[in-house]
This record gives sequence, structure tokens and C-alpha cells, in this order.
Amino acid sequence: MIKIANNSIISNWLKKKNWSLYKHQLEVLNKSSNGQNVLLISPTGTGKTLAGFLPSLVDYTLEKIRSQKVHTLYISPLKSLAYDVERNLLKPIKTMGLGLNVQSRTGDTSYKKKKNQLTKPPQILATTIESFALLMSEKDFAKYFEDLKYIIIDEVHSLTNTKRGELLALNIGRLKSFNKDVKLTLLSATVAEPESTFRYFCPDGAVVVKAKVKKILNLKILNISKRLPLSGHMVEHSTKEIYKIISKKKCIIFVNTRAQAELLYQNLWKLNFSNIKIALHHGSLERNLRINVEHKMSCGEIDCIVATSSLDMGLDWSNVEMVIQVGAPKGVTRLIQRIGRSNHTSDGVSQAILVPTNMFEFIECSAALDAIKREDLEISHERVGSIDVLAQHVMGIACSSEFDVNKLYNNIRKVWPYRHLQKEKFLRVIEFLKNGGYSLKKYQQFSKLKEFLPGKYTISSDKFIKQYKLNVGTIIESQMLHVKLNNKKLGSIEDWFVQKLSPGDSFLFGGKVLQFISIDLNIVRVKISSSKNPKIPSYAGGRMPLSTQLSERVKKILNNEYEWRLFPQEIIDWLNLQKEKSVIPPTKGLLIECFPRKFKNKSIEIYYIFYTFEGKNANQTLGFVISKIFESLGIKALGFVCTDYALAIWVNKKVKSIKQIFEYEKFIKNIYDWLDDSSLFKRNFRRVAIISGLMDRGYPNQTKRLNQVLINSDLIYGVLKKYEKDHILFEATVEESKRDLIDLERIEKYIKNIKNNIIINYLSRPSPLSVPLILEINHEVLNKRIRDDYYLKKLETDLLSELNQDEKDNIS
Amino acid sequence: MKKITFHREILFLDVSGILYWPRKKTVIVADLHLEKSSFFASQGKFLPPYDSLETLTTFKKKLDQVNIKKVILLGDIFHDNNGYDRLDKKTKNIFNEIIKKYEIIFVVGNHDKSISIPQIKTLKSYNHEGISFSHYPYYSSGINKVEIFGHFHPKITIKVRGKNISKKCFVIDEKKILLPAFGKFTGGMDVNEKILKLLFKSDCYYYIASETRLYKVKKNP
Repeated sequence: MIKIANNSIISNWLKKKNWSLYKHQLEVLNKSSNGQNVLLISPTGTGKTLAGFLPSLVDYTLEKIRSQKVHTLYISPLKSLAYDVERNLLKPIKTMGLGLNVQSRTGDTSYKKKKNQLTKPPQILATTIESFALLMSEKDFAKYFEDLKYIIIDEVHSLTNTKRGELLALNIGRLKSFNKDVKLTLLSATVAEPESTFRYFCPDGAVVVKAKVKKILNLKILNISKRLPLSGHMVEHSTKEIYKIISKKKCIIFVNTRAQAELLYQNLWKLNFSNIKIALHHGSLERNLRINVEHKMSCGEIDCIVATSSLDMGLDWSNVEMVIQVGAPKGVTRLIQRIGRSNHTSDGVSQAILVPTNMFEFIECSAALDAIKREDLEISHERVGSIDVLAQHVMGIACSSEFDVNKLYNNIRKVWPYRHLQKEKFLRVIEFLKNGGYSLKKYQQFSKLKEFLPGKYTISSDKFIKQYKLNVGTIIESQMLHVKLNNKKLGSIEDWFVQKLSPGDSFLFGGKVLQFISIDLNIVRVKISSSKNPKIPSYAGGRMPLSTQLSERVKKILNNEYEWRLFPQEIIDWLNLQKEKSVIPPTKGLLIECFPRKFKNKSIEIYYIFYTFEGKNANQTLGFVISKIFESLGIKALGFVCTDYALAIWVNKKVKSIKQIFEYEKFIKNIYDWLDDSSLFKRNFRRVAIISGLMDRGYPNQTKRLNQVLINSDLIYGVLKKYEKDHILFEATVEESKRDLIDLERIEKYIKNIKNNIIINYLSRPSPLSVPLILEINHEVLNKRIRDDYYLKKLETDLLSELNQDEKDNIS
Repeated sequence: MKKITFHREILFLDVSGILYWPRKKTVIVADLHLEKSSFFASQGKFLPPYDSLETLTTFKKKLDQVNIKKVILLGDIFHDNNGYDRLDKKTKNIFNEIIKKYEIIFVVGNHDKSISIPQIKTLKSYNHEGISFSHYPYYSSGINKVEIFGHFHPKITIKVRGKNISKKCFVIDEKKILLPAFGKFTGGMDVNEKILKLLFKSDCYYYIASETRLYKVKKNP
């Protein structure tokens, strides 16, 4: 047992600061010093980071660290956290008079500094997952880390069961195979299942330390004077109330999409007569602009930030008094994380207000508050380690040293997400890295790995090291163009959004109304506009789908009238009307409503509404599959739209036996058939191809439109599908798509569960609950988010026949 | 196929990107970029080794459908000068069958400038019936000839109801025909790119290739 009182350096420092250590901090120190791995679960602002570093500091005061090599490695998912740790540790180290060297190393660190760090390593190195992977691909990494004692992983909950988590787990596994004494300290504020979290990085076990500090959460849903709209995701109705709050308290306002951020920011400034300092923060803004905002916030120069998930994690701002969540939270863990940004000191009360943007979201917000009260957090689904990340990792190994296939396989099997990896699959990954792994053995002479002895490999040329280094990492962004105002970079914007603009159009970006002038290679030139009606760039796939936990709770609340007592009257009226005209969707099972809609031109469309509550991704997949089933029954599906809660499909005539289409085996087969020729696989293939090293990620300076020599990933996918469907990357793509893109597992489970409880209600007009969805239809038609082949093909035919001028000339 | 009149000749355009000249029993094609995959493979990017097979199978099928004696190849037929040697056996057979069956005019491009293929003589450009056939346009050097060329891989993006559809196309005016790339693994250059705007000023037409037919669109001023 270590007694801090006996450690004069640290106890003096604490005395000077008038601090005492928390129990959980001491516990981490003791377990760690005993040589155990630790998972610390402790609310934000309760000295988590200090707890993580305490063992290293104590070691140093006891002069246990004598080496001039890395002793402690801090790894975070965010670059900003790595800088923050560097900054925040330097102070106490200086005050204590310790001669410890702390440095950060990220993608933004200068080449010179990085080089210095290799020859003169700091004792404490704060880095990111990708920079760590790069260090591990250095030729003498084993020597570099031979004195390493602790690895601290921050925000660990955001890494388990993700590709980045896999990359990190693989590298830690590898490091441990060289340095067995390294101990891990995992840090998180919100962990639903401690055991599965620590197993991910410490398969041989860890001690869980839970902080006993109870943070007081003061949470409520915003009361607004105006009626809450039935549909839409914008915040006009409550901007005034939000402004009132931010004029009294320092706030972070979290929103779910970039479009909401831009719009809310504009609207708040329109009301801003008392000149509060309001700033904007989202992932597409130029890094310097973001850092500037973050810095000003920490100095207290800003009163309010409107932010997206770009601020979910990390930075310590003790001066934030209130968090405002605009829009439904979608997940409990994320909400807690966001609330934690308020009053970042432990004794403070965390204050947060939820602002629903429509009636359904109000119900979701109540469900979230309820879940927080009961500490019911989402469990992250375990995912099997992905092939593309493994391929990248093995290439990294080849960059640093020769390896033996069998030994490597055994080591990889020790990494938790890869513990079930089959030898056959692993060997196919090696074949892929060697020469593509095609059955047509054409690339033998180009092999990237040289087999210098049976089963022993080394990299065949140093040029592949460079290639690996340029492509490391698992985050693949979509094609982005830079927005430039008078040669000043404002940030980046999706290619497809820009393509919709014509010169002269205005749009909101970075809080400014900009007029689009031209595209110049990969630069979008703009000028300031005075337009009152700018477009707003929205981004595809940025929204998180509703979590299963929350969806269950929403259904329960809907079915328990006692829970409605705190709802505004208009929501109670709405739900009662639904009960009268149709029924409330059941907790277990599926409610389908069917009604006709007549249009001005006298055409009639039949609407089918499916209240699944399974999240937007799952509903979208269901939309495609059910449309396809309808078509096979001779019914024309005219279109569909979905939200997190429900799916609407409109068709030209009634479906005779709607219940039967949900028969489990048939339905699942239909899903797989649809998947096979949908564009979902194609979209995921690009990511898999880049991560595995088949293709380069586009470099930022590469010109986008002069790409005669570049190869489109869709074409590669097409050829692979035609000629070699059992190729390892094809297999990886299918696995991946099933897992991430479409929530297949969720759908399968759902279809299995509903089979005995499908209610179908035939109505003469739309039901109250269906109204938001029908309103949403207009949104979708305006936004055209469904970019699937199926629709594209239809559109293409329409369009081309419109264009066609001289049909007569066609011979065939 | 779509019929056009060019330089007083009747020509047919095909969705695949080939140009058919019935009077001379000739087919003209550009930018096959054969063995592009294996070229990438030599740099460590192991793209599926089936692009040449795919491209040549389609090409041969197209040739079988028309009654011709002669094929004019307009350059970048191979992605690099060693491409021919890297063809696998099956694919090489298809290639050899084609060059045996027809009279071949092999005009080289920037990618296959110094390629050497048994029984094939390569040319820098070819003149026939008052038309110049080359990989690059002469027009760019200021000489205004009647010419047919490739090189640019033209494609067009059409916006319709908020969605973008990108397709390869022929670009044609009174004196010039720019062929789309025929190859399977070829990217494209937007017709609004500066150089193409310079080459084709006003009154030119785009013939846009869909899966099944071509559509004629006048260039926007």
C-alpha cells in the first residue's frame, strides 16, 4: 500500500494546491503499482487523467524511472486531448520540480519534432491511435518501448468494438509480445459493461475501480411557450428560450447535425441584442478556426458554443455552467457524455436542458432522462475484428521487422477481437498482402512480402513502407472540397453538396452566408453574400440511429399512460387521438397502418406505415426490402421515407396479404437478395479497399476532376463481384455491410420477434402518429437523400427520355 | 447505335464508346488502357487482374456485331509500354484473335508511346479520307483539321432532381470527334473542364451513353 503522505514531493504539491486525493485516485495508484491493469470509471471532472498519471509520477519521485526512454504512453482518440494532457501535466511536473519530459505526438506534430522524439524520447508521450500505429511500424520500435511501464487509454468506451479500437488492440497486443511488463490503465466516464470493456484491451484481466463521487445531475426538458411542431428537426420554435438561457449562463449547445448547428447559430445571432459571444464548432470547420474557438472557450472569452459531436469528448472546461442538448439524444451514453461537459469540476452540479425539436423527440427525451435516472446505458455490440484493419496492421509489422507467420498468428489470436480468427482466414490475409490473393496468380513477381525462409517474411521494398505510412488509419472521409474565402480556408464541404450548387447560389457555412462562385480543382471559391435564404449543407449519414435501449423505453412510455402526465397537453391530445383513430404501437410486435391519400390531380396513393422503432438505418433497409417484395407481388412501390420510429411506403394498390411478407425465413432471404445487388456493398467496399491497402486514400492535394488515371472503387468492386466473389476483400465488405450499414442483426432479431404480433389497421385517412412521417416525406423529396441504384436507375430513364431529342436516329 | 453525319460521312456511335464507319468497314476505338490493374500491381496496389479480360471480351463482342475489315486504335490501348507482355494467356489469345482477324491501325498514345507488339506496326497518327486519326487533337496546336481523337476520357455529369448522374460521352462538333474511353478501369474528365471547353467552343453536341442507348444533348452556351 502506497501512502501519499510518505511521498513528500506529491504531498507537498497537494498541500500547496490545497487538494487531497480522491479514494479512486489512490486506488488506481495502488493497483497499478501492484502491477495490475486498471479500468477506472469516473465521471467527467473527477480527476480521471491525474489518476491515470499518478502511478508514473510516484514512480518518478521514487526515482524508479531512470531510463531516458518512454516510460508512460498516453493514447487518446482525439488529437486535442493529447495536447491537453501535455499542457496540463507540464504544470504540476514543474511545480513538483520533477525533471520529467512530456511531449505530444500526433498527425499535426512537425516532422522535425517527430524525428527528435525518435532519437531523444520523452518519458511521457501523449499520442493518438494512428500515431501510435505509425510508431509501431518503425524499425526499432521494440527498443524504443523497452522501458515502457504504463499505457493509459483515455475515453476507452468510444473505442471498444470500433475499427480504431481494433487497430489499437492489435498494436497493444504486439507491444505486449515484446514487453510483457507493460500495464494498462483504461479511463472512461461511462461504461455499461466494465468486463467486456477491459477484456478488449486487457484479455488477461484488469481491476475495475469505480469512483464513488456521485455527480448531481440537474436535467430537464425545456418548457416552451409555443406549440411543439409535429415534424422537422430545426429549432425555430425554441430559439428565444435558448437565447434566454445563454444570456445568463455559459453554455455549450449540442446539436445532432451540422445543418442544425449552422442554422441555430444564425438564428441566435439574429436575436443577439445584448451581444453575447456565441461561437460555432463542427468537424468541417478548418482546424485553426476550431482550435481558436476551443482556446477562447477555455480562457472564458466566449459565452456560448454551438457544437456537434466534435466536442463530445475531452477538453476540460471548468467554466461551462450548462449544457443544452438540441434534438433527441439518440443514445443514453452519448447524452451522459455531453452532459458531463458542464461543470467539469467534481463538486459542481451538472446542469443540462434538453430541447426536443418535434413531438416524437419530446417522448424520446423523456425516455432518455428516465434511462439516465436508472443508469441504463447502451451495451456496445461485440464485433469480430475486421479483416481490413488486420491487413493494415500486418503490413505495419512488415514495415518494422521480419515475421514468422505461425508466431504472428498465435499473437494475433491473443488480441481480444481476433481471438476466434481462423488460420485459413489469416493466411488469406497474408496472401492478399503478398500479391492480392487472387485465384488468377498473376502478380507473383510484384510481391510486397518476400518469403526468405519458409513461413518467414520481410517487406520486399522500402517503397511500400512509405505507402503504408501515407495510408495508416481507419477513418475514411468522403470526398471533400475546401471552402476558400479570399484565399482564407474556412473548412471543407462534401463534394456532392457543392455539385448541387450553381454559381450565384448562397449557402450557410461556418456561421457565414456565402455565395458560391466556382470550383477550381478541389477548391470551392466563395464570397460573402447578403442572401436571406441560403441553403444549408447537410451531411449524409451523420446522424446516429436511435439506440435499442432508448427505443424500448420510448415504446414503454407510449404504452403507459401514467408516464404521459408530465407531457405538454398537445402531446397528450395527439396520443389520445391516435388511440381513438387507430392504436398505440405495441411494445412487442408491429403496428401497420394502411390508408389512402387523394391528391389534387385526383390520383390516389395507398400508404403503409410500419411503426418499428428500430432506428433510421434499419428502417431504411426495411424500406428497400419491403418495396422490393411489393414489386415482386405486382405492386408498384412509388417511394418510401423513414425516421427512427417508423417507415412509410406508398404504393399504387393495396397489398393482399401484408402479414405474410414478414414470414421470417422468406423475409431474411429477401434481405440478402436485395443486399446482393444494392449499392450498399459498393459504398462499403471503398472503405475496406483503402484500409486494407488495395487503394490509396485520395491525397488532399490530388485534383479531383482530372482523374483520368485514378480508378473508381465501384469499378473494382464490379469486377471483383463478377470474377472472384470469394476474394477476401469481397468477404470483408459483405461482413462489414451487414454489421454497420444496415443494422442487419437488429432487423433479423426484430423480424423474429414480431411474428406473432402484427396488428394491421385499415383507416380511411392518415392517423395522428403517421402525420410527422408524412410531413417528413416532403423533406425527403426536397433533399433526395435516398441515393440508391434502384432510384438512380429509375431517374436515369426518366431524365434521359426527357433529354432525348431525336429518337428516330436510333438503330440497333 | 446512333447515326450521325460527319465530314459528309455516315458514322454510327455505340454506347460502348466505339465508332462504326460502314462505308469503310471500319471501327474506331480509343483508350482501352489494358493491363492498368497489373500496372498498379507493380506499384503494390493489387487491383483485380481481370480488367483486360473484361475490356477485350466486350470489345470483341462489339466487333462481332458489325461487318468490318479494319480497326483503328486511337492510343492508350495499353496502360504502359510493357502491358502487352503482361497479358495472361487467355486474354492474350483474345487480343491476338482480334489482330489476326482485322487490319489493325495502331496509333499510339501517351501511355503506350513505345510499345512493341509482334506483327503490329505503330503509328503516331493516321490520315484517311481527309480525316486525321490521332490520340491527341491537332487542334490544340492551332491547326484546324478534321479529326477524330481520344485521350481525355470525356464524361458528363447531369443534375436531375437533386441527383448527379455521371456518364461517359462522345463530344462532337463540325470538325472534331472526341471518343470516350473504352477501357473498363478508366476514370474520366468532366466536359466542363477548361481544356475541353477550349477545344470545343460553341455548337458542339454531347452524346451521352446510358446502359442501352445514346442521348444527344447540345452544349450549354
